[in-house]
Amino acid sequence: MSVAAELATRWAGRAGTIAFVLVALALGRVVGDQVPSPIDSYARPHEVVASQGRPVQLRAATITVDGVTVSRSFQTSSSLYESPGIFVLADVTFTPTLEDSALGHVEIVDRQGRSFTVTRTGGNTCPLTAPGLPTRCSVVLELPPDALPGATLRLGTDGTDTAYQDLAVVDLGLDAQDAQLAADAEPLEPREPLLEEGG
Amino acid sequence: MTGWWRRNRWALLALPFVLLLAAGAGSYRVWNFWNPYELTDPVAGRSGEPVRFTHTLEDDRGSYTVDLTVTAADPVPADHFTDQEGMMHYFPRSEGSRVWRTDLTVQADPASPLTGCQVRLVDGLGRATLYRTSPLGGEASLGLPGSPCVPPGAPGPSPDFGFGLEEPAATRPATYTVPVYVRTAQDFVPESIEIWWETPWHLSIDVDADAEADAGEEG
Repeated sequence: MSVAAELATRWAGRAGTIAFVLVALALGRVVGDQVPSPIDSYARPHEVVASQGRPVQLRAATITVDGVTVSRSFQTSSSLYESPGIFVLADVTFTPTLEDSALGHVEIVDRQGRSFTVTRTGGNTCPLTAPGLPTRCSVVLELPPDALPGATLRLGTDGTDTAYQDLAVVDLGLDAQDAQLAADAEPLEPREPLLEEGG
Repeated sequence: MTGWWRRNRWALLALPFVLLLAAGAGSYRVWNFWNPYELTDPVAGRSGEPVRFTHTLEDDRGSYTVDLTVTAADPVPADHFTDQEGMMHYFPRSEGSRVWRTDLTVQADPASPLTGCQVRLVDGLGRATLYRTSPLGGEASLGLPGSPCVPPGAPGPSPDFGFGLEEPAATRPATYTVPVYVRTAQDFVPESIEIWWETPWHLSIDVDADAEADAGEEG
């Protein structure tokens, strides 16, 4: 075999190796992009699914959704709010575990994935609470009637950014019929945990 | 396969040490991102005994020193507080909670800035509740100071954070007593009171709470 032919074979082999490495890298990248990022899965909120009336143990607090009512209007100590949609009130019992905490994340997610939060003053009566102290309070959210069926309430203690939080996820048990019931219902009255009565 | 183990034997021998070294090198995160933000460096004391605490902090003008001697009384239940005008206000009641009052007697140079302290009670289960006026409820958020370590009428100098605050006219007394009210769970019996300006340094005073004391009594 001539020297030129020998060199050509060697270079061809080398080019093959290079091509193989490049293809392997490209393939690795494509596969890597398809796999969910490990950061995303660490940061995803940890959902604890529960039913109404059942205490949910989160890292910072124990939360129970005691009951759910709906109405077109809701009454605070200072104002009466009316809605073209539906107000959903959830009575909540909330007991922090080791440190003071508040119900920082309150959200309803409907079947379509739409997210609703507290929009009215007085819509979250759960105050900053001491550890071990059960606080009976309420949250009120405003939804369009078509969001009621299958909507879930999501409650957490750490604020609106849910990354790394654990959340209590409770099915509200509402359906299209509740939208009609709400039209004739009395105004909702949130529970107030502090009782203003002297000594 | 024996060939592979043999060829890499030195790397394999080094591997446990390398892993240890890597864990050690990452441990700075405990010191950088956890330790400084928690109350990890106490000056300890007991109720009824004076404890000296000095802590040098930074403000816009440079450094200043918090320097005080604190004597904590034992916590007692409280049902009311008295505001600056001498008006008495009852704390709203809530099921399952009570309010503790802990008197702090402070001796300090009137020129030492002592505003902006935080105080919390800790019980035997490790539960901790901060002094905050809003959970006390009712008139407390208006009638009690945001930070309890100085008398509200004569807080003395404040650190300068560029807000252009005027120095208060009244001079802070060299010795004074301030009450610290904290709403806790009914079964929370404080075992220590912790006072700090900036973590991790803090005063940690062991107390002997008297749950049977009359809540209406003025301390």
